[in-house]
Amino acid sequence: MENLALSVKNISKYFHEPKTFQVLKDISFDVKKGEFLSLIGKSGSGKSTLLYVLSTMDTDFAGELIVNGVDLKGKSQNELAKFRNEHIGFVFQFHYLLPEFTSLDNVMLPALKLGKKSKKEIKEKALHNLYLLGIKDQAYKLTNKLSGGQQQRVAIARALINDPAIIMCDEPTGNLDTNNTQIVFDIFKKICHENGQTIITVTHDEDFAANCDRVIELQDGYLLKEALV
Amino acid sequence: MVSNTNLKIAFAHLTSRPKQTIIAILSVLFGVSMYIFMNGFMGGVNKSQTEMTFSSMAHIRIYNDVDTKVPNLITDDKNTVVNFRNAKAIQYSEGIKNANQIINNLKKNKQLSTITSQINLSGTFRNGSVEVSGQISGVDVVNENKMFRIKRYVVAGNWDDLANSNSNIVIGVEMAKKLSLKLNDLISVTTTDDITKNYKIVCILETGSPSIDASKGYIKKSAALQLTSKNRSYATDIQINIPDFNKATEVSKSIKGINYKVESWQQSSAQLVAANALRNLIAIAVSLAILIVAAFGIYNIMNMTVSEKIKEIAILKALGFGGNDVIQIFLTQAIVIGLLGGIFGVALGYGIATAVSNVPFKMPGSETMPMVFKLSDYLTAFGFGFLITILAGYFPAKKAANVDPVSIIRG
Repeated sequence: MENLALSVKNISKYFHEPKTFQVLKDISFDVKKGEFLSLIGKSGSGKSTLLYVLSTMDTDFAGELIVNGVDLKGKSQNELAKFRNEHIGFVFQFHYLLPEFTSLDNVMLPALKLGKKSKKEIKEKALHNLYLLGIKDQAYKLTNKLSGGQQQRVAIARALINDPAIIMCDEPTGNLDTNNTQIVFDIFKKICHENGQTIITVTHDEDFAANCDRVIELQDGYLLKEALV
Repeated sequence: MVSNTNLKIAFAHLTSRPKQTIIAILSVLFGVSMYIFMNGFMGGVNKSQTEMTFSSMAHIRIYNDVDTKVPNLITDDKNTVVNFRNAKAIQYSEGIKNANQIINNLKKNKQLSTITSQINLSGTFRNGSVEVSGQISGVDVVNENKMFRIKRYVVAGNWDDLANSNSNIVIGVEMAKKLSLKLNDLISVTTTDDITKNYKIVCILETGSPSIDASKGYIKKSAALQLTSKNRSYATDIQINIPDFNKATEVSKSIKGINYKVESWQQSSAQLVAANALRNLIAIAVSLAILIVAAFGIYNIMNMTVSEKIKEIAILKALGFGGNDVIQIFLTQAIVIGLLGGIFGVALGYGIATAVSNVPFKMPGSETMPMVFKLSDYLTAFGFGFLITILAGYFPAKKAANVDPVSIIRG
C-alpha cells in the first residue's frame, strides 16, 4: 500500500441523460508511485470518464477511490478542491489557461491558492518550471499570445507547481504536432523517472501510449487488458 | 478574509474586459442617478404643492365655532321628561375677544413655530360699476408674511408698504384684472355691515390659489378693527404653524385651556389629506418601479459576467479553488462595480437634479423646476444600488460556485 499512488476498486458509473447507461463497469486497478500510465480506448469507451472520476472532479460514481493513501469517497466538494490543489495536477487537451493572466501568473496560481510558500518562493519555482519546459522567455506574456505548444507547456508547468503526487492528463498531445508531442512526452518521462511523480494520461496516440510504462485499455466500460511495456 | 489570489483574479476579470465592466457600472449608475433625480423631482413637486396649499391655510386654526350642542338647561332628574321643540343653536359671541392674551399663552408652547391673528370678514370689492365679492383679511403684516411667506408671490409693489397706512390694501392679480386696477389705484371695499371705505393698492399678489388671487384683500389689522368697531384684542382667527405640518392634528390636541375651536388642517380639509397621501403613494410607486427595473438590469449584467467566465470558473475549480473562492471572486467584482456605480451614480444624480432645477418653469412662487436635495435620498440610492449589485452578484456567483467543472471542461 505504501508505494501506491492510486487505487480504485469496483468503480461503476452511470449516465442518466438521455437515458440511463452504464459507462464504467466494475473497474479495479492500482497505480504505483512514479508510474507513467496511459489510458487508451475507442471513443465512448469511458476512458475520459474514468480519468475525471480519478481526478476527484466527478463524484457521481459507485466504488472505492484512494489517492495518495486518502479515501476520497464521501468528501465534500470544497474538501476535494483542496485535495486536488495539493495532490493532483491537471493538463487538459485544450490547454485551459486563464487568458487574463501572463504565463507566470497562470503557473503561480495553484501555489498561491495552496499558500504554503511565500510569493517570492512561488515565483522562483514557477520561473524554474518554465525554464525546465523551455519557455522562460514567454513568462511575462499573456497566454493567449502564445502558440499551442507553448500554451500546453505552460499548462504542464502549472500542473507541476505544487509538486503533486499525481498528474492527470486528458489528451495532452491531442492538439500538438509531432515535434511538440515529443517535447511533452520527454518532459513527462523525466517527471516520472526523476521526480517519482505519477502520470495518468488519456490518449488516442498509439505511439505515445506505446512508450509509456504501462497501458490500460478500456472497451465499452470494461477494463480490457493491462499491458506492461 | 478575501485572499490576495482571489482579489487578483477578481481584478483581472474586471480589467480584462473593460467595456463590459463599464456597462455593468453604468447600469448601476443609471439606476442610482434616476432614483435620485426622480425622488428629488417628485419631492420638489410635492413640496411646491404643499407650499401652495399652505399659502393661504395655516397648519392649525383657532376660531369661534357655532356651538351646536343643546345645553341641558333644566334637570338631571330621571323622573322628569324633558322635551325641546325646534331647538336652535345660538351664537352668543362672535370672534375671539381676548386674542392677544391667547396668543401670549400660545407663545409659551414650544411646539408652535409661528402664530398670527387675523380679522376675516366678507365684503365686496368695487371699482366703478364692476364688483367682486370676497374676503377682507385684517392681518399682522410681519407675522402674516412669516407664516405664509407672502412676499414670494408679490408681482407688483411691496408687501411691507401695507403696514404704512390704515388705508393701504393688497389684492390678488385676478381681482386686479377683473376690476381693471393697477398698483396705486384706489379700490372701494364694502363690508356686510354696509360700511364702505376706499383703499390704495400698494401690492399685487399671484399665489396660484384662486381663493386668494381672485377674491382676497389684505388690509392692516388696525384697519380691520376700524371696519368692525371691535376692541384692540379682537380677532376672528388665530393661525398657527408648526415645524412639521403632518403633526398638526396631534399638536392641535395638545393645545388646551382655550374655549374656542382648535382645528388642524387635516380636520378642516380632508380632500387635501387624501391628495397628499396620493402624491406620496405615487412617489413611492415610481421610486419602487425605478428600483425594481434597475435591480433587474444589474442582475442581468452580473449574470452575464458570470456566464462568460464559466469556463474559467471550471478551470479554477479543477486547480483546487473551492466554491467559496468562486463566490469571493465574483462578490469582489460586484462590490467594486457597486461602489463605482454608486459613487458616480450619486454624482450624476446630483448633476441631473441641479441641471433640471435650473430649467425655467413659470409657476407661482418660483421661476424654475421644483427640486429638493435630500441627503437621505442620496444615501438610500447609494445604499440600494450597492446592496442590489451585491445581491445581483451573489446569486450568479452561488450558481457558479456549484458548477460541475467536468461538464464544462469535457464540453
